[in-house]
Amino acid sequence: MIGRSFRLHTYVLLSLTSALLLACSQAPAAPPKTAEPAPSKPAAAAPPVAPAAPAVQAPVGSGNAALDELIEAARKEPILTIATGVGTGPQKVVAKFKEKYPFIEVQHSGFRASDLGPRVITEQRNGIYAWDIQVGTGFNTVGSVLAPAEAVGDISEMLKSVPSDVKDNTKWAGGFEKYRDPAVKDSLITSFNVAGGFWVNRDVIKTSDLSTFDQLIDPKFKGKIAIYNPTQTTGGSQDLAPMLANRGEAFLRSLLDDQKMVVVDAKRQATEWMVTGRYPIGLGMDEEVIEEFQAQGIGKNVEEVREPQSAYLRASGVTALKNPPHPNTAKLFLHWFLSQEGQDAFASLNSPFATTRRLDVTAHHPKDTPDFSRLNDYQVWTGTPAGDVWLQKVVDIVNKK
Amino acid sequence: MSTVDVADHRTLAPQERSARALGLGTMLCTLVLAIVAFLVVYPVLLLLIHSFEVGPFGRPTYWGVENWIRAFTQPDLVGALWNTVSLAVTRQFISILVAIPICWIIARTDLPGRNWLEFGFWVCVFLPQLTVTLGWIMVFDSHNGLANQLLERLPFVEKGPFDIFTWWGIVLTHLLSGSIAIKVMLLTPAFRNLDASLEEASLASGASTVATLFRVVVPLLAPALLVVTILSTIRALEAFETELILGAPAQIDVFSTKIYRIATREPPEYGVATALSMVILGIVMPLILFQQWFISRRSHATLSGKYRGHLQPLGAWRWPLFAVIFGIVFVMTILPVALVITGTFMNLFGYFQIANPWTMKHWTAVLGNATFMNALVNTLIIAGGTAILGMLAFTVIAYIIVRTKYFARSTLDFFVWLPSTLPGIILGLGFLWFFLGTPMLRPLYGTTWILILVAALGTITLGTQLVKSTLVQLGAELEEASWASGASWQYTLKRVVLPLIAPAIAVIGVVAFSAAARTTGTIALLATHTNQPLSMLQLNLMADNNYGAASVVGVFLLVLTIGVALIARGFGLRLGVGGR
Repeated sequence: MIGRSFRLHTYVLLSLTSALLLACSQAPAAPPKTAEPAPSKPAAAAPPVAPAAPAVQAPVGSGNAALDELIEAARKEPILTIATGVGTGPQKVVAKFKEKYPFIEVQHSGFRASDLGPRVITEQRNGIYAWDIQVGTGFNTVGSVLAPAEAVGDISEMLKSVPSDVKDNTKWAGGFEKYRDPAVKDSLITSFNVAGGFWVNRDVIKTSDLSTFDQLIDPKFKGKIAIYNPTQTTGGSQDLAPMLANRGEAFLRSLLDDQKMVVVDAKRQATEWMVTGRYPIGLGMDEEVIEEFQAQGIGKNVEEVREPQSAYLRASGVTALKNPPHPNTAKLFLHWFLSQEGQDAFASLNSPFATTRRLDVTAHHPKDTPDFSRLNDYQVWTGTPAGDVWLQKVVDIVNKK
Repeated sequence: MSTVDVADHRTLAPQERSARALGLGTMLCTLVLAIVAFLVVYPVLLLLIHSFEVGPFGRPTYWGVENWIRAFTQPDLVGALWNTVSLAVTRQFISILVAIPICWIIARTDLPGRNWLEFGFWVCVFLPQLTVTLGWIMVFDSHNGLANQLLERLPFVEKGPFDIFTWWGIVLTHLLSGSIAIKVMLLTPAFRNLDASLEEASLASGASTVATLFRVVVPLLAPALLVVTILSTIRALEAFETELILGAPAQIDVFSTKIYRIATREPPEYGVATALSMVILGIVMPLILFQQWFISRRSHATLSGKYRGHLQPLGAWRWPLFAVIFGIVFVMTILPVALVITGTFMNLFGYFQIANPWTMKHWTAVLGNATFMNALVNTLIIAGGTAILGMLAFTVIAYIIVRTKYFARSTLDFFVWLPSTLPGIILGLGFLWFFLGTPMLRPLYGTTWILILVAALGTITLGTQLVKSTLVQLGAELEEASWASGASWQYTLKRVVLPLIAPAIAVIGVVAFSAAARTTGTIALLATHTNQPLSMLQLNLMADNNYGAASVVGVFLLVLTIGVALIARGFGLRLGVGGR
């Protein structure tokens, strides 16, 4: 009985294994592993796999000769490999591009900030250039990891081939060409968010007790402040950077050392604790979570305290990666992304605080949209080299280096 | 015919084999050793070597020890180490004390519904850790936890005593969400393989049931207990999700949370994180060496030719014990499953008092996600492949370690422990360097094969050690009788050994499936847009702060794993000794 039963189960196992092998061999193709000829010739020799046939043909002739030419060039390499941050927002943005150009196979991957850099750099060091473009909610990874490792390309060169209809200076706040780092020109800034304040639960702390940043270091608020992980440049340290810039290191150290702030690694949890009053003061909070709670009647008396000198700009946009394997498709994406349609998609879908520098796009999140006429009034622009210096100083102070 | 010289810890008389057969057997074992060394040790060595590269990731570096200096001069490191060890030791101690009687009752007695109760513990192991922790917060939060609210309705209770955001809160959460359950899951097959005559002899000599349990049964199962304790300790040392959430208000930091923060900085400091991870290896290595020495001292066979699987009658204790065990399963499994599923239908997890607590939006968000079906199929492929590969490979490795006289079997055993001592987030980078930097493996990069391989490597320790502890229980006379009857080594392996260890192999398959389905750290750097599994979709949703939708994905993963577990239990229990 055991023998017969064992044989039966062994056959089942072998059948499953065979099915698995079949499934793996028919799995969709891996991303292309080689790039155009470049100074460093890629070591991997596997050619890109032929893409699926287009389900719908793109419109014949857009009325823009340069664009038509670009579309034709993209047809010859109809694959786009794009890296974004994690989340469903970037997926939706990319899906809009896919709707516009259905003949292009979009290979989109979302990365945590700490994962993209090591992956891209390790690939490139082994001769694999797998990514065409990166679109993020910030430039922290670009500025602190990719650019210093020379893993980025020159986006200004790519933009020369992008049709000029999207490069009209009058349609962009501060002019079209605004780069993360003007010296390197790897990334074009397409978005500024204004942020910088702290949140207070007014059911617990009255306005008369706390309405300015200077009052934050009042000993009566010791143990009452929750902050979203300030040990990283993408965390609550961003709200601390303008404090350092405007009030100095002594103020920041007093806040960090004397006020016994509760450091929370989960942004949602930190925000929930502030909204429910467990820790009535919050730094680095998530506005979407606040809105979610307020929609259900919780935390209706939570408000943000901002001062002009506490506000900062968060720059984000699009980054060219070194030796894109599909340069024409990348340029076509750039054209779409920089158009009114693309920027509207980004500003409405990418995140709950997404904005755009394009002046002909509705501000879907007005609270996060800066006064573009006063951009230079903001002392800290995170995502730029100068702004990142402040961020790194904050992180160093927090990590007690 | 080719054979491998088999030893049963010096009790088996050496068998004569031809020199050619010995050579072939040694070659095969050496091949296995080489493969394990290549796949396991090489990535770990890469990480270790790179930990001496000083400088931000991606920029010019130089060789030095600054990473190690910075690792061990981290602020509050001693406090974190103390928290790590104290939390791990406390919950290991409590969980093993609770798990041993539960295993004995389920495996050795006529407890009603014992198979389903055992399965209840399995399900507890498969529950999504984060969601379960959030569920327990809902119950034991000091501010508005359900338990405190209920108690505060009593006239003599002014303030509820529970506060989950404490040291003991962390211990309790772990005990309720996996520490006890994983031990029951891994140890029950070992208890089942115990010859009843040993207990009967003890009872006949006048010893009580409890004395028999702790004076006869536990010492006989010492190898299995030791292995499971070490494995659980490693899990405890590396646990960080629960500590990240529950440790914040009381500023309870552990090693793993420090490593996590260092590895996720920008730029990430993998060298410093790797150096810190070596502490875990340093803590665990003496335990590993001790278990190797302990197992090799003498025979621990409990499953011999005279095996009898007689169940102890519980008599009047039958239903009271059933109530106790069922109560434990209810609290550890049924209640959290209910919380997890309920949470997927809530607008705000844990908030019943709002005007509109219920919603379907999380389910529509997940089912309507364009990548969901692809991720589901990918999960089945990756997790299924990991389970099959794991069952085959780990059995072979464990057999070499336990049942052969291969001269390097202790080395092989040590290699197998290595991957579990490094956090997945760090191991993932090691595998990235490994696959990209090895020309013959580079064609695998970007494929699903690599994810299967990496996921299997992530469970090699647990899988191999589990089969190993079962093989240690097998008496040599079972195989001897087969050889004496003229059977070949292969026939004996297929018809005698494998059926006997089938339950353990079934457990490996399920655990490997579950681990592969839920893993993110080791595969985040290797997955592509086409082969991303559900765990990566779950990560995306959590990045959106959409814990409700992330819990929906967790439910799918749970259902998948339970389905596989049911199949595996049918397969393993029907074939295994004592399966009934």
